[in-house]
Amino acid sequence: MKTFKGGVHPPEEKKLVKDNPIVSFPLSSRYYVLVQQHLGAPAKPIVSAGDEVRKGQVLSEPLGFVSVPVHAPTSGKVKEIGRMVHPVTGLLAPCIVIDADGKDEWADGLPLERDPFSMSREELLNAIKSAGIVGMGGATFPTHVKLSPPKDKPIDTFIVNGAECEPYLSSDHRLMLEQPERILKGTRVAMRILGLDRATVAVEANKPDAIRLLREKAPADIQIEALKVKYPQGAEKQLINALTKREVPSGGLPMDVGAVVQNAGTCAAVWDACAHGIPLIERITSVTGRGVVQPKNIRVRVGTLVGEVIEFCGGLNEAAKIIFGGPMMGIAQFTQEIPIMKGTSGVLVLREEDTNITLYSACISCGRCVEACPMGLIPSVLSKLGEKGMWEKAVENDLLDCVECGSCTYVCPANRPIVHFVKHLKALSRAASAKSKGA
Amino acid sequence: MISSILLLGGIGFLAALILGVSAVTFAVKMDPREKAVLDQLPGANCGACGYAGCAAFAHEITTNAEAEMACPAVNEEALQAISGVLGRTLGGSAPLIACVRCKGVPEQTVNRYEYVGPKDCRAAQLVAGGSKGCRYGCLGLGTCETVCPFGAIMMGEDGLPHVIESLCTGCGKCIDACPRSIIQLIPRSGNYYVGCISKDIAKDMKPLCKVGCIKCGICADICPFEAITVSKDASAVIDQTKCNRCGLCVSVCPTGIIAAVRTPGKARISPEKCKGCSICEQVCPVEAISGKVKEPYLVNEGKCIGCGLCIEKCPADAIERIIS
Amino acid sequence: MYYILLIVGAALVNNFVLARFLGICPFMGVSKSIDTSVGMSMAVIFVMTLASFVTWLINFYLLVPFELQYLQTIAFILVIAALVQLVEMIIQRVSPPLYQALGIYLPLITTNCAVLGVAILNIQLGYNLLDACIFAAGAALGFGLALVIFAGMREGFELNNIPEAFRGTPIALITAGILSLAFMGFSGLVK
Repeated sequence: MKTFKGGVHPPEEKKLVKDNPIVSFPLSSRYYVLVQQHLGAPAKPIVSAGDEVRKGQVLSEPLGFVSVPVHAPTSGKVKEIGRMVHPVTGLLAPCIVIDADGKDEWADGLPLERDPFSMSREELLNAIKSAGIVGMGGATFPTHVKLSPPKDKPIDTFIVNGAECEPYLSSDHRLMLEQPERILKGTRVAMRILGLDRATVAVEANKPDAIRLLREKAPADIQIEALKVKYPQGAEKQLINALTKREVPSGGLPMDVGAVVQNAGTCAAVWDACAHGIPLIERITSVTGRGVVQPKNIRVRVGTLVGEVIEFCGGLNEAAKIIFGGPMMGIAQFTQEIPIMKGTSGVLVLREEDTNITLYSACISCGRCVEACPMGLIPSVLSKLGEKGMWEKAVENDLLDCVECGSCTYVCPANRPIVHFVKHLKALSRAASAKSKGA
Repeated sequence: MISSILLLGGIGFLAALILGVSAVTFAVKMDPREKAVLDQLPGANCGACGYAGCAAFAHEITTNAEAEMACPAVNEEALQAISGVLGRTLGGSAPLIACVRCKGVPEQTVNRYEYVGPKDCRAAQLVAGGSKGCRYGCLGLGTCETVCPFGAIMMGEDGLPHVIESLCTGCGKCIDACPRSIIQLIPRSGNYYVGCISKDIAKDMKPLCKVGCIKCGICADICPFEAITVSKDASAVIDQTKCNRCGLCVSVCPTGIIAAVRTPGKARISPEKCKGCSICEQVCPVEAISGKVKEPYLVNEGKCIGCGLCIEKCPADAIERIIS
Repeated sequence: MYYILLIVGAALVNNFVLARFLGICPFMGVSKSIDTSVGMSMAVIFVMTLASFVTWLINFYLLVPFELQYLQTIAFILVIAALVQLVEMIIQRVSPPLYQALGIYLPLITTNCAVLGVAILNIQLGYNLLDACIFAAGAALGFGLALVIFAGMREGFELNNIPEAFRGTPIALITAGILSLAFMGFSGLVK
């Protein structure tokens, strides 16, 4: 089976939710829609306190090409444009607070019925941008940008990422089992935009039921490929390498080797946006981990407080850590007063015994991290440079090629927080270039 | 005998000839003054001057007649020496000292979460803005101590950094390192500073930190030089250009958040010189002096704040500062 | 073939620093950074080879005919000192930063026992002029190799958490010892 070099095998732990069908999370009374739920230029709120809004109504205006709007997850009234803790940075960020009126009425004209296959490329990209579609695997990069690479980067490969390599998570798995048509049709739309006549859906071999079903449902021009189970198979560059043997150059992007990768959930959202004009206001999220009483896969609206979600799943059970995302790359949260975002593929609640809070010690140069690194870096050196704050030397040692997958941290016998050191060095490097630019 | 002298002499002569010729061909014009200047610089290469290191700054100040003295770490003696070497007077910038504007020890503050990660304040700040409840307070992981090239700031047992007055050169490396901009440079002539930079209103700050500035404004009211500004969402700030180091604000602050770089020596009245005129008792702002007219007066050391007013006003020059 | 073995012998099997333990002073002093090590190696290669050439000539055309072998040490040192002065001048002109970085260790090549050692060994081992020069070049290459390897290691463990008591020279000496052990693996390579 195809695979990439490096990587680790953390315990899957998916049995907690992988056989749980998706359950719809009921309507909340209040939604907190963060304005910045994407990578790229900020967006500007275009509603104010007191405005009546309807489900799917646009709430913000993107400022620039690499920017997307956010939409109202339900009908109601805007309470305020306040500030809320942002799950990614942990800092306060602008947030549109909406009090639901309980009627859950769509905005005028939505949902519509149209045929994406008779729409032009520009119309499709426009529909995707105005629907606020971003990468739902967690990176939240604006999809319309990814699907419109510059002319000097010809694309010949489109890959749908159904790998879901993070332990504990099963949201994409359930989506593939329960709504494969949305994914496949969305893939077709992407193929049309990119001008390709074939595509590949990559699924890790630990989801045989999904692979079987997709193979049944897929048309001839979409190939379903099973990949060896290894973390981080779902990382873009590793996916491209496993499927095509191509290597994205250092500092480069997938388009440099003629490839575009999209998450399976994003493809489904693309279909909804193009065929029905439905914006990205809800997603499938795995609420899992032994720290929550009843793990579930939920269909939840963006902006729902995670505290409510956890309560819906039976509440906490000796919880010590709440993570948005998976255990390898997810971001730990210090409060339950935090909203679900477009990129929240999982809410992972761990007990203390499920975590590792051992204090780190000196690097023993054992080399396990070097074996594990899927990007071929030397994490031990980066961690030592991180301890000393030597970011220039780190950049020379390919710091910027690190995808922060966490494989090195996972295998380190000295419990060194290597990814944290890398993030620290990257922050120092950014601060230094900002200083020299401003100076 | 002769042959040995001739031999060695001959080799020596030949070598001298070759070296003499090379000395001319490979001559390097190096200003000897530059070496002399470099010797006077501290050699820590801290970069506070804005140049790549002491050698680079020595080169600049020697070759460029307009260059100003930018090294904060030279003392008076070195400054004189450098001025002598270069043949022009160099004005030293007013020496500065670092002060740590947070007194929130772990016992008096709360944390939002338990932090597990690199022992570096900048790295800790990346995790949701740091684990300390007060987002203006010191994270206590010691990055300032690590970056100081002079060993002048050390993490104390109380979990806060402490500046060693004699070693601090005011180079500013710790200022850059602190992700919360808690450390500030003040002129060495100054003494008092407010140990808190919280912008939270008192009601919000109190549950997070028991010792922070509650912005009551008493210090600003009592300051005879109007050197203190404070508002409900900005901690008190002492303007060092106006502060006369009387120490009154310290004595009235209810949380004791105004800190001193060095404890001022207390006053002692010499009984032989004291004429018992009672002027000292009258001028003392904290009523620390007592006595009977025509008899030697006494200073209550416990109350004395070291403001020095009595020393200034005593007509008999009978009061002096005790240096601890 | 003979010359290749001569070089391999001088550079690896009987490495001047790691097997003969000569020239430890610059080895310890300059190996903190790879850049200065490379610079120092260049200087030493130049001095060693030229010194061997000149001292061999002096020994066989001046000292031996006039039966002044007892002047060997002082005459050799005189030559080496002059050569080092020359190298110093050249480096100061060509690369002032390297000159600053090497500092005191540049003139210390004069009293470097490795250079004098090569010169004397040439005589003791009875090499002819060509052999002497090649032997010296090999020795210098070996010196440079050991220096650069050691500098690479020292730059690497600059980042490690070395206990206070071992920082600087102590850990360097221990590592040099281990490196010597590693180079013992070459023994028997050349008979």
